[in-house]
Amino acid sequence: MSKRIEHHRLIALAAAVAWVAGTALAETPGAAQRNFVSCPIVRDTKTVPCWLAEHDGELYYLGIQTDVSAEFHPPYLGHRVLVEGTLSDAPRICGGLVLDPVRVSPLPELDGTCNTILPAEDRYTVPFAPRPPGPSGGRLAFDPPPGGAPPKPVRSGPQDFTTK
Amino acid sequence: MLGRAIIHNLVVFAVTVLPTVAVAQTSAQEDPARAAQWWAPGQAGTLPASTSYADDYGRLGILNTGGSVDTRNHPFFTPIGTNGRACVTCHQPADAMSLSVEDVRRRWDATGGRDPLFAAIDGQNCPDLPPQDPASHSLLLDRGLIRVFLPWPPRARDGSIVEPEFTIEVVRDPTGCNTSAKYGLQSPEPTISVYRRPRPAANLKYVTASDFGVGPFNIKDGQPAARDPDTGKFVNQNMMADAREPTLKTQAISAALTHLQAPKPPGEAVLERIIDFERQIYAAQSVSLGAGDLTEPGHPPALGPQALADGRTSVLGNNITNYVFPMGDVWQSLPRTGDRDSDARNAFRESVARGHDVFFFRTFWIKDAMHLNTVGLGNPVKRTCSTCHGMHMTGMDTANGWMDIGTTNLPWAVETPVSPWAKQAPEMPLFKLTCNRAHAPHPFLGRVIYTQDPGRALITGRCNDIGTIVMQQFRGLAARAPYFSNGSARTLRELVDFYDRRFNIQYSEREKEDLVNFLSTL
Repeated sequence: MSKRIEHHRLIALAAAVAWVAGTALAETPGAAQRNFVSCPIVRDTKTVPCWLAEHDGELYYLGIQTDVSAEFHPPYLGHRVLVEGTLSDAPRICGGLVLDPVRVSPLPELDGTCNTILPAEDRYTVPFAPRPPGPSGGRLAFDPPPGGAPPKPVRSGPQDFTTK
Repeated sequence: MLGRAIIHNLVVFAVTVLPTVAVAQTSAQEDPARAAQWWAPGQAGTLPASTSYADDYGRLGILNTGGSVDTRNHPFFTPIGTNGRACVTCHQPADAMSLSVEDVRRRWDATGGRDPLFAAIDGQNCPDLPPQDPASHSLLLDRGLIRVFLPWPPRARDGSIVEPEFTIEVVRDPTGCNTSAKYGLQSPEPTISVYRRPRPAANLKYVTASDFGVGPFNIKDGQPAARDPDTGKFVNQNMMADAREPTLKTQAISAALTHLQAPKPPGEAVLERIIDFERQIYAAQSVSLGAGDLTEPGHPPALGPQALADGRTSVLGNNITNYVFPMGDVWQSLPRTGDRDSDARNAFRESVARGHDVFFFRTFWIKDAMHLNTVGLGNPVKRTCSTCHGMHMTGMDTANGWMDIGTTNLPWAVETPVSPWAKQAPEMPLFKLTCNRAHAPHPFLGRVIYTQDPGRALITGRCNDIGTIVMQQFRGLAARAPYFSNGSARTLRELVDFYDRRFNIQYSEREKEDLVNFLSTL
């Protein structure tokens, strides 16, 4: 009886070790994953501003200013931002390595040191801006340009989320 | 003929010699007919289907699409309360259905302060001050402000208490009302008094339109949208500075009970007549001292009251298909003939066209504006005036329009300097609001906020709403100075200067003049 219990304990222990190891493996960010908290930086361009963040001496590109219909909602100066993104092979944009996909979450506390607005430089351009910085051409950012890709399907109904 | 020559000379003088504001003030003082434009409650007469009134920049046009109105016994023009006021007291046709501080002062001079406009309830800084003393009415006489008194803590529409996210202290109380034992924050019925400008009761088909950006939730902050209590439909909450009344009907009832001191709400028939009248009135500048007749054939499509009557509602104008104020290109480049008057008029018209382009296309960094930078655009966002002022034909917000750009919140609100050498004491109250630890701090102002008027937060109790004010329409501006809810911009130039300072726009002198000229023609 006691031997059987011990056997069960061993199996449970092995399972637990395997689960912990598996979880740890799953949670280890891949080489391309970048998760960090830093000040966001906005860089002006001749078209629309682009949003960047610096981490470990490297500049990362987060996205551009569009409008409220866009998938990317820029962060706030005056707040640090949690950046969670995957390093892309795309060429640098606005001087930053491209994170795509990327998620930005402004932290609620104020941080007055996050106040960098970089001026426009000719070498940094955003030719793909779907709308100019002023009035639009009559369509929102999520509308594809003429002949462009169709919009992504809108998710609806119940969805599962995993929080870590 | 002589009058026309004088006007033409004035035009030339305005365009070539003096800044616009200086010209406007001069012309107003020289016009003796202005005093006769006041519409007294109970005054029998006819408001024509179409008429105009002299203002600082030319003439304001009033169009009544329902035809002329006999004001005898009409409830908008008749005292329906106990203090002798009517709706028209604070919504004067000559003042674009609002109230200019110039007319307030004229009325004071004409009646020795006995006009019902100066009623103790809210035409004084506080009801317990001595009447007929100008100092008791200083905010009305200096800034055109009416006292708005609201319960603290806030009450929901069903009368239940709203638990506020912040505490409030009175830091400065120049009117004495917020520390009054009878009317103040520590009184048996705790009340907060703030001081606001009456809004134009005109062009209301735009102000109340709820077909764009209005749904079950406020798109700015995710809060449930207000409903019309009669129909259950969602409303845009764009009518009042703090959006506390959802419909013209509830506003009329509330105004009758407070401003007019009616003993009971007006009946349905009375309300219906008031609302019908309000819905058929359009106000816009019709003649410009500089640009001439704004309604002549071929005029820019946005100008004049008829354009407002004909315009489409619930249209987003922040795009180059609809435009906020469609001006066309008729004034973009005009010939010079050598005729002094004609050349001066054309020069002014070109300035108006440039001013429109400054409004519509001139980018700047919009930063730390609550309910604008927080809605997904990021902080800052490089945009233009028309980003916020995007409603076609009015420049309001198409959706729920309360924002904080610093008109009442420090550090941006206009404050009287305090120093041993100061000759003027601060006029406005100052409150200190401290956001509770249980809630996230205000994203741009933190937990402790100083303000002259907490705005929408006095209704919702929300930290993020502190100092948020529903933006106003841009029409009839020339007839109803001063501007902003607290009257802190005495002229159109001061209004432009506020934005220039607030957002570090760095307008050139010419851009400022063009913008003022453009706004004066709306």
